[in-house]
Amino acid sequence: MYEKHLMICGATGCISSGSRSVEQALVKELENHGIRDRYRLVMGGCPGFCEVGPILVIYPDEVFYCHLTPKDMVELVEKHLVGGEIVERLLYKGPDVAVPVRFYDSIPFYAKQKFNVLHNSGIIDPESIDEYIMRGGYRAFTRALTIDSLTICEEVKESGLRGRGGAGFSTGQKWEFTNKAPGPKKYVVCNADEGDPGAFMDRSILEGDPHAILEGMLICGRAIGSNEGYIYCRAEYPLAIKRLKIAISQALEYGLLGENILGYGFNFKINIKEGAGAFVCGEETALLASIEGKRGIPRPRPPFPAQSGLFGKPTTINNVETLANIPLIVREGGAAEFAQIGTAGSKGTKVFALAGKIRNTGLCEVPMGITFREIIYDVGGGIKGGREFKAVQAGGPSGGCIPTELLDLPIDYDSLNKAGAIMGSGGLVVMDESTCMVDLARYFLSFTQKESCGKCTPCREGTMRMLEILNRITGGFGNPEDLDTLDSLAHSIKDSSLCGLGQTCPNPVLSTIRYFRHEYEEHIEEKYCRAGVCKALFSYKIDQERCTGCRACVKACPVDAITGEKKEPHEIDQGRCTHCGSCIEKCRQDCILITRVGREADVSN
Amino acid sequence: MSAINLTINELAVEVTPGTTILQAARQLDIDIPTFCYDPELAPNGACRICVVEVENARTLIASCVTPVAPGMVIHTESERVINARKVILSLMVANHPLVCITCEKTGECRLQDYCYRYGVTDSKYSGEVKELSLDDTNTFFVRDMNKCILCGICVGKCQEVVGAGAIDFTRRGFISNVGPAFEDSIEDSTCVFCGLCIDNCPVGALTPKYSLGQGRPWQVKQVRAICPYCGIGCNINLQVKDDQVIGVKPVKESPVNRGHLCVRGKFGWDYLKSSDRLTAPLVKSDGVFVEVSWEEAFGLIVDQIEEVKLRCGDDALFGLCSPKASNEEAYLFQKLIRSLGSNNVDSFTRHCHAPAVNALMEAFGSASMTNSIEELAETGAILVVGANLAESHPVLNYRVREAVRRSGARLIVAHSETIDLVDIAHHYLPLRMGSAVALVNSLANFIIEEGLHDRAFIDKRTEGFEIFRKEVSGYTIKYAAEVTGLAEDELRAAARAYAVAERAAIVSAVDTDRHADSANLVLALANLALLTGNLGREAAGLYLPYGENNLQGIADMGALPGVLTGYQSIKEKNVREKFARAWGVSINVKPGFTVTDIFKHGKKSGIKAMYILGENPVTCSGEHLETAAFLTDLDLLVVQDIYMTETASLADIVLPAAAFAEQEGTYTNTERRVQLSRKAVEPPGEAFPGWAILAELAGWLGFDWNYDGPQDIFAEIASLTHQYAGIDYERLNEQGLQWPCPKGDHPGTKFLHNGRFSRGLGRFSVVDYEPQAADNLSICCSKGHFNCQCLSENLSRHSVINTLRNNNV
Amino acid sequence: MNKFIDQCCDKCTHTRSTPCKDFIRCCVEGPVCHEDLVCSAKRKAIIEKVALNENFVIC
Repeated sequence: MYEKHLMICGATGCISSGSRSVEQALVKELENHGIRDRYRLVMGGCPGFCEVGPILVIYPDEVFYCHLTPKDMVELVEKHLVGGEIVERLLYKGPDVAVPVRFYDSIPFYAKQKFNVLHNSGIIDPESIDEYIMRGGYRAFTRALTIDSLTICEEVKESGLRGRGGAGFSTGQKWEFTNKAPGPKKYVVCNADEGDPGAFMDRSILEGDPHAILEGMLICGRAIGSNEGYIYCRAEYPLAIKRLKIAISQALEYGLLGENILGYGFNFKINIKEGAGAFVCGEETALLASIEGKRGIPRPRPPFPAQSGLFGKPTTINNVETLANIPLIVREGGAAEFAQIGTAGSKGTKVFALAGKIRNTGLCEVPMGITFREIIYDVGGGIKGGREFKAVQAGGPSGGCIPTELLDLPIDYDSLNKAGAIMGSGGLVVMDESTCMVDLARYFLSFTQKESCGKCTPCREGTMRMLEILNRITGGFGNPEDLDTLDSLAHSIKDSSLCGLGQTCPNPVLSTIRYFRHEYEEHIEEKYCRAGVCKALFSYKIDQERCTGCRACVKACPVDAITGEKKEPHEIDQGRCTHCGSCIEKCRQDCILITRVGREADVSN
Repeated sequence: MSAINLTINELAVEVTPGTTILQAARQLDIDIPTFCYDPELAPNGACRICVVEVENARTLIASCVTPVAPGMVIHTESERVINARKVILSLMVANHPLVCITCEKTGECRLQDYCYRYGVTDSKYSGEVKELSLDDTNTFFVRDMNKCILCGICVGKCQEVVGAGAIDFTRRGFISNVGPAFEDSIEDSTCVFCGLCIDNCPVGALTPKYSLGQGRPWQVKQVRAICPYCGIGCNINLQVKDDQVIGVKPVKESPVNRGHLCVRGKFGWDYLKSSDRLTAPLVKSDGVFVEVSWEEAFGLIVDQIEEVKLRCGDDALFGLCSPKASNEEAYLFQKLIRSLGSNNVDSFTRHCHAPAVNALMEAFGSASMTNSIEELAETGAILVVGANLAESHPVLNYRVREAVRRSGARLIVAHSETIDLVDIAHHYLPLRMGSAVALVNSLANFIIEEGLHDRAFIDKRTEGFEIFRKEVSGYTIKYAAEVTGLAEDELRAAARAYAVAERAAIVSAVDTDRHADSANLVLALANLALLTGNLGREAAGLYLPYGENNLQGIADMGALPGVLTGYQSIKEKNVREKFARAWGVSINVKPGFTVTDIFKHGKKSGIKAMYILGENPVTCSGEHLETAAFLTDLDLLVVQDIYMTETASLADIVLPAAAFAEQEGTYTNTERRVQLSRKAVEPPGEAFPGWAILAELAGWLGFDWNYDGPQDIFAEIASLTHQYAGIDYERLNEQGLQWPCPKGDHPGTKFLHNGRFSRGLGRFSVVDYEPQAADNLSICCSKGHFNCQCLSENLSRHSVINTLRNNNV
Repeated sequence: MNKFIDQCCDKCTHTRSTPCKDFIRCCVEGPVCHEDLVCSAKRKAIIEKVALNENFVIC
């Protein structure tokens, strides 16, 4: 047996911070010591805490090492593996802990989390079906083979599971509709086209625990009476596709896919269809069209996919996270257990991707009903750099922002809808005072405008017009009527668009106008961007009283726009300044201010 | 299924399940604006102008794609709805060149109309606009995609109805554009120039070139006529301004073509204005044509005819009638010939069609198409054998596609070449040329072996089955596979697909393998239809559509040597007496010469004088040189036509006639529908309507005819012809009538052989496959658009559509 | 027996084409169809190789 198991994170965040080279260095170091065989090394799934990656967790003790570099491996191997002593400097440190934390479960980031769909992520080798089975995998499916299909739908209904892709429709109810639709041929489709910029919840499940999806689809197939499924996975996730293919071939080998599965006379086949780079193909009817080989363009509903979906047959389409919850629900007693977490209207957990100006970026899985305040400050560790929270964008390009006054809102489908935001797929972008809310809305709208399929008039033409207005506003050419125009245009687009993309893409605009109208008004009437983002709408000005003349900014400026002698207050030549912000980064006195163009200081950076 | 009750604008309405909100509103005469909605296309829901407010719904609902639910409460013009519509229109206008002043569509543009309705004067959304170059590359129409509102109707018509698939949406999002693949020009695409996109575009993005600058929509008079090209007889609205035809639009209400046309109907009318039109009577003098007056011309004809009759007898005169002549013309023509003492009247359709006609007479007792054009769209299976409808009868091809698309019909295509239908066929049988009879016989045999034949029908309605069954038993699938080169499984599957359908139709070309085999093929197909009981009922049948527009009509009018109108045989004494009484002349009991007799034997036939009505035997008979020599040798050759054709150039006397748009008259299409074509413009110069020329000539020859006009002539036809007895011009006003229509209140006959066949019982025939030597197989007229319509060439040669013909060979 | 799909002995009948209904439970808790300490030990060995700690296996 192995002395220890070394689980290195091989998922999105840690790969980009260099976990591959860390792994290579570790292997080399172990070989140098001639102890390679004693340790099991796995490039596994995501443990969630991307901010502190690359991460390595050593089992069975659960020692949590983070911020690793290849050089650290020398000490780690010698001191911990050979010498049996924990390497303190590689442990987690932070303002939220008194001393460096040794063990996984003592890290504050994880304190309020509950691992349901992520319970295997980072724990198992994603390319091992045996490990999945050891962790209870395929038990729920075996049970599903023995009970009546409508009973399965009933149990999923009772659990309260709602679609995790954003719409929040009762999963059990959707399955029941498809179950009751007539016809011998039905399809199960997994929507793995995670399109929101910056979202990687589904990616982590697909890469870290692919069998959970297969099991979820098998159970769904059993529940609705289908013998064939498709996983529509975006082509930008090659590792996920690779892992899915491996998982499928393993399941086939084990007789968990194919004919007469486990002797119950149930057949199921899973196909993988790769996307081709269209956000709109995350919309279910466009996704179906894409699988059918047609242009990925939404179709009018009704008929709904439950009645007439893929190739005209009754189809259930579920998001990755939704399906990953299914085995937990359908195992013995799972529905009741699931329903004990969360709020009355939103049961279970949700995976969120924390991004933006937050200290702890990464993935977290928390019970529904947790408040924004808890997730931002307790799980997320609060705002980076000691700044103030301004807002959090929930739901990506389809969502809205939650301002300070709503921080105690519980995160569940209904509360979010009332506040003008949506749960969406679970992306949370945290903002501080250096974020311009107008620019934020513009950013999201530019994404959806480009991704509009062009079929329906309001979205095709309307998003362009809204974007043009926002570009004018952020460029300093806003007109007083613009807010009303934006408002009415946004409402009409929401009200008359064909699909979810059009119906939700005005949300960031409407939401930021609702809670940060004053920023829009400043941009339009005063031509001023207080966050210092819209380059035409502010100047950098050095506070003559606080400047100590250290010349740090002079050296930092790439266009030599700052002049000043040592110990004399410096000055910025507005004509040369390109607003790159390098001087602010370097200033030790915090004395470079963001002012209105041509006027006195108002707000400091 | 119980009806659904709902409320729209506070009015209650009850509809059947599946009805959309839009359809329900229309039942209440509530007008909801639409751009992208078309009842014959798949639900689209793209433009969003039709959105309405449904109580308790989260967003506005597109009424054109949403079925009603019980208890729905709908508001179609609430404030919320109007706001949304205004925004949508503003958005469209923001990206649409506001050039209404000179746009050809002004006055009938839906964008204009809705902006007017909702008070959208301009757009406050100024920003990026489309700046696409005009697509002006093809001969027929201009595409200005800057005006396009991306409703997708043109794409739907092209892909779903016509199947040409020349255009689709390209790119995506704000820069979406409709066009051919790879942004090629239309000319290099698979466009067939049928004009459906033009006719259905709600704005001015697509304009026929002939329309440019010709007149504003409100200045144009619409005159309803019948397309002169093929046997479908599409209803068209001639666009008339300043006594000129300036365009053609299809008639939506006609059950024949339902708003559809092909390139010939849509663009092939310009021959009317060709400078080559004959404008004065001509007499040949010293080898050169000289213009004369009508009096002179008639005088000469009378003298010459009387001279020939005196010298050579009544039998020396022959009348050749064109299948493009109207019923009235054809009727008067054969009346004239017969009044002159012989039954020597015939038409060239005998060449292509006689084998099929004879076969159908043998099998059913009637050679007319058994079922109607619109029924083909409703059948459950279609077997197409050797017909290329996309080229010969495009509008019928649309019906085949519709049957597959909307009625779920199984399509079996048996054709040696790859035709367009192969793309949507469930079974494609690329059989060896010449082996069709073996194929059809083997299908029949297989059906019998599998017990899929309709025993009750065979027992009650047919004769000759036992002999047929025995003889056809030799056509095993194995044998057929060898002969045809097809796989056995495919033959079996095709047979089953045809036989198990609740209703099935067969479509073939009258002249598939132009040879003796063609008659056998028709008999074999008739057997197949009899075998499966697919005759004498709706949405089934045997379709052999006739090539020329009035082929059916001139036969009905008795332009045939052995029968008078309505196929009444001259051999019957009471028939001769009836006509003798009506016409005031005696009818010769001897059947006349056929065209085959005459043109095969030439001089030896004894014909010395010929009157050719609108026909061009020099090019159409097949033996050009002999024909020309024969005609030149005649003592008298009179040609009545609209152009100086090759035949007319050999004539002694040429009479200028009016084209279809220049005279009133009826034409009977291939589904036996008598349709009225109205006069739109005056004929050029001194040309006259054909019926008027014949009536005048008759007067000069001493016959007392006295007709007030075509309506009068038709009344006489109806009085003598059982099948036409219940028809008159008033009844023909809207949709035409399908004969038999024996009484004034009879609604016409949609399909034949209902209850009994024309000959009593349907007859099975024994037909054997005769292997043809390769050089014997001449494919008739497979020359692109003009399949089996030699005479259509006479028209198209003078039309812009001829450019397509040259590209298509 | 290296993987769960490998049969523990010739009493095991589970293959893709001849499936056993108890296969999944048997992987961790088995053998189910017969009693055999050796077969049971084979399974435990597979598990022990990869189990990170005593919380790893979920029944």
